[in-house]
Amino acid sequence: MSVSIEYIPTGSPVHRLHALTKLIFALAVLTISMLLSQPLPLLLLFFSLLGIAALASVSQEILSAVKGLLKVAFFLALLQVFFYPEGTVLFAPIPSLPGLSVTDQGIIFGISMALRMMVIVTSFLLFLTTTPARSTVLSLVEYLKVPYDYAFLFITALRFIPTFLEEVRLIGQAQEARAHDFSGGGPLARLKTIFPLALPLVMISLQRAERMAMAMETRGFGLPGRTYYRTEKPGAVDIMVIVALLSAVAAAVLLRF
Amino acid sequence: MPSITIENLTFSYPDCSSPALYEVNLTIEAGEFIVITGATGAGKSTLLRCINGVIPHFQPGTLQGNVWLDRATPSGRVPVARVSAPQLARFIGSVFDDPEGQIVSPIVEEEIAFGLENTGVDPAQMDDRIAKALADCGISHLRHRATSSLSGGQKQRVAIAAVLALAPKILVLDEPTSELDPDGTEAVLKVLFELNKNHGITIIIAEQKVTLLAPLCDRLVLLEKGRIALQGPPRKVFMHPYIFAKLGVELPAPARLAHALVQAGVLPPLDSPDAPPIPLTVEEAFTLSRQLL
Amino acid sequence: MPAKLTGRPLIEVRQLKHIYRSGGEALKGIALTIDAGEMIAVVGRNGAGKTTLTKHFNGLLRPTTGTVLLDGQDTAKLPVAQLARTVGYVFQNPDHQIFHERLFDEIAFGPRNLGLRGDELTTRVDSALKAVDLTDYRDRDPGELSRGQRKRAALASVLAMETAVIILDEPTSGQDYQESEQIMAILQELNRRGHTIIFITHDMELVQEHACRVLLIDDGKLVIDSPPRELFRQEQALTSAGLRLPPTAELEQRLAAFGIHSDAGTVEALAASIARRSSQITARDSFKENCSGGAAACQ
Ligand SMILES: Nc1ncnc2c1ncn2[C@@H]1O[C@H](COP(=O)(O)OP(=O)(O)OP(=O)(O)O)[C@@H](O)[C@H]1O
Ligand SMILES: Nc1ncnc2c1ncn2[C@@H]1O[C@H](COP(=O)(O)OP(=O)(O)O)[C@@H](O)[C@H]1O
Ligand SMILES: [Mg+2]
Ligand SMILES: [Mg+2]
Repeated sequence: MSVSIEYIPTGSPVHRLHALTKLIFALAVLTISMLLSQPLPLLLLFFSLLGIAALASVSQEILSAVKGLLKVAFFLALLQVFFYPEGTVLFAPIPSLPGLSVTDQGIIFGISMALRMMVIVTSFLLFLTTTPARSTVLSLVEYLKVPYDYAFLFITALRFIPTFLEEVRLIGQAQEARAHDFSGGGPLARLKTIFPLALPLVMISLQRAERMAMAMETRGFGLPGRTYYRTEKPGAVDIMVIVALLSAVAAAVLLRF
Repeated sequence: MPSITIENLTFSYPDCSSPALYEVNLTIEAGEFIVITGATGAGKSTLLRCINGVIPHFQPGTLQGNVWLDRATPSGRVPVARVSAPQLARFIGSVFDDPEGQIVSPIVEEEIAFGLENTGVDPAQMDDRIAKALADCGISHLRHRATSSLSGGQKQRVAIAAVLALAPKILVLDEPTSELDPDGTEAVLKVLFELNKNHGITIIIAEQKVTLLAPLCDRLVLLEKGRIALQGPPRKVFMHPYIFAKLGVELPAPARLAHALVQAGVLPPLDSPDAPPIPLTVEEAFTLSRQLL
Repeated sequence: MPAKLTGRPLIEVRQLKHIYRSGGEALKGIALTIDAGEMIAVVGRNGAGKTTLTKHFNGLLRPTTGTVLLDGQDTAKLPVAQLARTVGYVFQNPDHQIFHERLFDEIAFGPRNLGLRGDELTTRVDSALKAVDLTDYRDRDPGELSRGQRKRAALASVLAMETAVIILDEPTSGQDYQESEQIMAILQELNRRGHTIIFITHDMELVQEHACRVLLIDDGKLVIDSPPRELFRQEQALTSAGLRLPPTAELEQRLAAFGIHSDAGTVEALAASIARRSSQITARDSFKENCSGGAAACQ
């Protein structure tokens, strides 16, 4: 699976927006999707996200992630459809278990739930693929007053994903080169074939975490009076986008209540 | 300018029967260029870790004796163990023996900026300092690359550049060129030499590549099983080929040639008054050979 | 031994290009063949593409375009686990593979995957341990070894598979002089027994002493493919690819103009040659001196 959660520098107009704007965008989409309960508006919201992905030239990555998400969404919908208690019963697969019946409202609820999940994940993927980690840290620190250390550690965790994936690839290669077959047999055998990958990975990651702390502090991490290389200020476009986003959230709240 | 005094330093890693360093005494003057060498396991990294504060700030174990940082503060000398790691970063820059483990940023230029930001460098100066450090290490073209996609040697260069950009008074480097190509090794060593000569930066470097470092350094320290087996200016130290052989350290080819010429009977013993100085470079070895023809 | 007498090369690389998803073109069209029983050094500056190239020989990387044939078969069509029966690969970082709690089991991992069991397995593992001088650590936790020792353990775990081809990515980096010599001696011995050895290195002295053929890679292209001695004669090409002559070779070349030759390529041989020359010269001079009444008269 190739779900990309790395920053993809394409230099699109979306990339040029301030990190704060894009963070607010992701949070606004989250809020709005929570407020919407009908499948149609959620679907519209979802398609507009895909539109933005195209504008940001990250469609390929987002679509491949969406493909992966579809399965999860399907299960989520199915679960809701079968366990949603209210509404007119359309169909009961096991008559002796009335709890397991399918209702009209259940179908709508299930589909909405799945769409909502897709919308939220997609909006955060959009945020991550179009915003460098460093800009996120800076906007968290500067505008949302998150202490630098926490913001940095949080983002460092994110930054380790590519390194981690690279590590997984290398360890996999090293074991395959010793004739290890990762594809073997049934589920239990499969689980066992993972050990040669998982164990070195855990050991390397633990080691790495220790060394990171050392590498950071010996370069002055934690000293007072930190300065920032390349701080970006939100521009006029950012202000406009933020205002539009906040109005959209307000509208959604008004519509709902 | 701060200097370093090591007094009776003994260190054991946890659960280890024998100490990794045993009663080491060493004074390193401000502005000195000093090379530490020895077989693997001799204690080079351990000694460097005691100097840059990794021991005891990050590495547990039993530490006896002291490492003093002289004239670092107006109040005189302080033990390294009493200065916090980030504070030490104002004086000492460290390159570790594992370049991958010390990269903390996703993009190369951010990695170089990281230390500058921490130590409160004026952002207006950062671009120049980043560009200079990258150029010194021959990686200007990698400035915007993702650190996770670099080759082994490229990562090592980034790690060195990140520390050079900080312009510390003392540089402690643990086998910084182990994965570098000859060109990169030469470039990095040249930068160290210039920092040392032109800016009086103290250089403490653990290396196997004695041949390349001998012409650049003031002093060579040979470690054997946690003790100092031999130390002095390279030409003096190279008088003792049998100690090199015993410790499993390669004597550089130019010095080996001089010893071989003595063996062949065309040079007087190297410690006699009319013997020529031991050559350190190919150039010197060539000149010496020419004189015999 | 693997050297099949089919006349076809063991490894054949045709117009190989490799493009990393996020890093651009790492190999820009490489063609070469490798015969069974060769001992080859791969050299080039950092980022030249050495690791990328050699990972194609056992299918760890697949060509973006072009083909790599192993014993006539397309590596892109075979699983790595199967290619591993013929080609062993020792990674630069030993921690990417070590995961057992006992060194013996770590070394036995590869041979077990090949189906070896019982006495045969034990023999294989023990002789690999002996080759890398780690017999004393047989039942210890490999995590407790020094990095140099772990690196030799990683080497042993590939040796124990007795593959026809063994590829090593910078096997001597981070090792001291003695350990490097020890590792190279092992490789030389394997080569003598018929294994094909391919090693990546930045150490030109190792190349000079141990390789029969050098591949110089620069910017994703194969620039020079020759025996070390010939490579060292092309100093220009060497330096422009980020490499340097080893000191002994440089000295030898500069002294060649004065009739000094080192047959063995060592400093000692150079010194002997200098001594011979200088005694000839002294003999001649003293002859002159005797005939014409002292050095002063010569001038
Ligand atoms: N996983 C990767 N993703 C993207 N680019 C990569 C990746 N691995 C290597 N590269 C790039 O491909 C080129 C060749 O890399 P390779 O690792 O083959 O170099 P190398 O010759 O082995 O160098 P070194 O001597 O430093 O180990 C380099 O420019 C490198 O940055
Ligand atoms: N983190 C550690 N834990 C336990 N023992 C260690 C550790 N690091 C080094 N040692 C041991 O200390 C000794 C000196 O090692 P080191 O300083 O790394 O030597 P060098 O750098 O010269 O190769 C060796 O015996 C080594 O095994
Ligand atoms: Mg060390
Ligand atoms: Mg490499």
